Amino acid sequence: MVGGAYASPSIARPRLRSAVTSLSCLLLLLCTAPAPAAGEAAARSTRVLPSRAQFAAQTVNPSGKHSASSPTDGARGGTRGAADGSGGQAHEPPETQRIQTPPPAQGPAKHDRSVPVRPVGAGVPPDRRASGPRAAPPAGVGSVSGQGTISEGGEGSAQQAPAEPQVGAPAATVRGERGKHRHPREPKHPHRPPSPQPPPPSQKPAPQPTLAPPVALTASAPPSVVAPATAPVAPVRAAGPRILAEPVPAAGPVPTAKGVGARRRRAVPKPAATLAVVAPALTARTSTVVSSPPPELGRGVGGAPVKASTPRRSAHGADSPLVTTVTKIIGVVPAAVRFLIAGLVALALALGAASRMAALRARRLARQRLQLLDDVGLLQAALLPDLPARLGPVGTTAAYRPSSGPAAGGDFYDAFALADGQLAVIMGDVSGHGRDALGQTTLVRFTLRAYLEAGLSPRGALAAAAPALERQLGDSLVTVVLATYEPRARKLVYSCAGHPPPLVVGAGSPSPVTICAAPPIGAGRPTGTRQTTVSIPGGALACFYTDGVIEARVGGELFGEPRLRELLAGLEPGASASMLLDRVAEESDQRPDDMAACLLRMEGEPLAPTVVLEELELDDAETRRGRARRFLIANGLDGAEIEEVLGDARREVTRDGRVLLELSLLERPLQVSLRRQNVATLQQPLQSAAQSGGMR
Amino acid sequence: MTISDSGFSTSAGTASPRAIAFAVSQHSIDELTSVVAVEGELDLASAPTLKWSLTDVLDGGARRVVVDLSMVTFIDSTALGVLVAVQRHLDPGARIAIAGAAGDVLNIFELTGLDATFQMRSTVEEALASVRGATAPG
Repeated sequence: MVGGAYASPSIARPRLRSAVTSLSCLLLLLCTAPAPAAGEAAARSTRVLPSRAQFAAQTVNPSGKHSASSPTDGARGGTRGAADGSGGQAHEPPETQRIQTPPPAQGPAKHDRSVPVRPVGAGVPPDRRASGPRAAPPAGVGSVSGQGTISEGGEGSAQQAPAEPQVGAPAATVRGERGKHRHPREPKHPHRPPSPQPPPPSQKPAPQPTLAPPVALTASAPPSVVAPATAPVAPVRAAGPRILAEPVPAAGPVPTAKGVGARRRRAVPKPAATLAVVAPALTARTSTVVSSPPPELGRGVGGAPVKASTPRRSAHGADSPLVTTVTKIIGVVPAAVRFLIAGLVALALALGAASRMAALRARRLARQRLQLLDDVGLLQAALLPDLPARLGPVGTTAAYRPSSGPAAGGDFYDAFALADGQLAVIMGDVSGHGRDALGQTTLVRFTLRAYLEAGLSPRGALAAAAPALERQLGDSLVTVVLATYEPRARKLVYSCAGHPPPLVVGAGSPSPVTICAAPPIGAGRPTGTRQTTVSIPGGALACFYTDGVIEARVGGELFGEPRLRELLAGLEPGASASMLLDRVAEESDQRPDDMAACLLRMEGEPLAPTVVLEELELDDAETRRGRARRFLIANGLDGAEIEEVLGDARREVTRDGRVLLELSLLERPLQVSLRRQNVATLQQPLQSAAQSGGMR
Repeated sequence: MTISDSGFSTSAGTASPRAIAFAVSQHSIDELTSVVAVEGELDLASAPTLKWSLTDVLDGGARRVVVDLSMVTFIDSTALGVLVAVQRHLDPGARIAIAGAAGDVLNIFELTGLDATFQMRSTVEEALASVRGATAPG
């Protein structure tokens, strides 16, 4: 049991550890989320603007006008182009402002934007360019303003046209960067798609989406647009085609302005958010990676994202799915709720762990209980063994009914075959209760059994065992009856020590004389002083029982021996001791003490069993007591005979200290003999047993 | 010492219909002699009370104790064990006698062979005479 109990907790610990670990990771992610999440919302509304402005600035500042103008998507590019044309920075503010205003004509503008954005120099279909109504309005500025922040595409096709080349490079760069980020999650921006032609390498389809996210990105990493566009171009290129491809389908259906704008908006925050989340995390983790691509950083707006994107790319393979999903979820949830969720998750894990530990404990306790029940069963089997159905020609059954109260325990019995073909029965009751009684019960049972198996008579076994047992019994008293049955002679010989004698019921039932009964073991006096021999010529039932049976209460009275005798006489053939005890239980109201019974069934025609021999051992004091006289009277001796016998007994006693009175009741007149037999020591009885091969 | 009518009243554990409230009382005849009277049923529940009472009396210095069982209706092996233990642990020279056992109680003493272990008398007077050393018929 113990091993199993130890195995279970060890299994629980690793699981607990993993739970704690995963919870920690979850909490870590939650903690890192707030910053970018908070920024996302704000960024969403303003990202586009600053990014565009920055882009414009970048486009303006760097010598490379091309790159400067290109960073943003087509729209932005156009804007920048205009800005460039106007003077660059000066336009920024206006652009910014313009960008901030929601572009009413974003829809169509988007289209336009998308179209012109791509074909920086080549991608944009001439149609689009022409269609750019927004383009009509102040090329870059006007379109920008009209379209507002999102109206990247709508920044005037006209502007786009001229800006294309410029936009292409920087835009491509930016877009490319952004596109990279976006690819994993963002839907293609509608404005981008339109260009069917693959964007030239120089083109960085100024990802309008990039415009939005770039805002934050740019803030994080002041883009040095000046950085050679070529360098970033490469990666951008990779992103570019993707980006371009994506938008294409979107461009087809000509989504509404709102739809596109929304998409753009969405696209913008996502990449921005993701980038923002990843940036700090990745930055912390992949500082080296970040530092490696300086040119990417130089891209400007894309710098931060680039930074993040690159390391992200490297890390993406490992944790992008988890991080992405978690970050997205985190981004949507407000901070307060996040902590609440974290707390709830922690609580759930703790409760799960606690319940698992409780389950393990319960399992361990159940195992222990089963083990204890097994042990108790073993003890019970030792005290109350199962008897073989037959011992020779005699059917044997035994039963035990423990008391429900504090008196439970103490009864014991045994029935076994002796070497010389006889059958032996032991039935007893230890007065102690509880744990001490168990040890004493087994001691008495097996000690008496050993003496019987050694060949001593019931009386001899009691007389020899009592002194040895008394030393170990303390204050406990043991009442017991030992009996042997010789099946050929059909004689039952029994000796009681403070115990009720067995009832023999056949065609009639003799009443045993209880006067001069031997005392129980442990009373401080010699026992085994009486022995009775009953002849059972025909079928009969011999019932050995403990005092709990006759001390059961029936309507306030004791069950008593007469009632038991009646019950035995009324038992059907084949009835077992268990059935007998059941009947007693039915008739009685209370059973304060244990009940035990052992039935011996002798086969044959029912004939009357009779007592044929009474043996009584007397000491000097006994010969002078009234008990001896009463005993003789109870056995049918008349006054004269009694006086003669007692006179002879006293003479014998003074000589040897003890005398054995044998009353043979087989025939009249009774035969009385006095024998000198010292049963206090084992020597003589054992020698006799060895010589005769058996002792009576 | 006199511990008169110290009633240790406990109801019989079995609570049978005819249960008489168990009671043990003792009174001293003289300095060394006490009579402990028991009433009701002596069973597993009430036997400890009898034991405490007898131990009390003996510890108090009594050397001749008579246990009056004339009012006892039932006695079982537990109470018999108490009486046997008390007698075995008597100081040398101290004596104990049982008085008034009758009916079922006497049968039980006889059945268990303890009627030879104790000095048993029919009346308290006879029991007192026996513990005081007067020879009594067997």
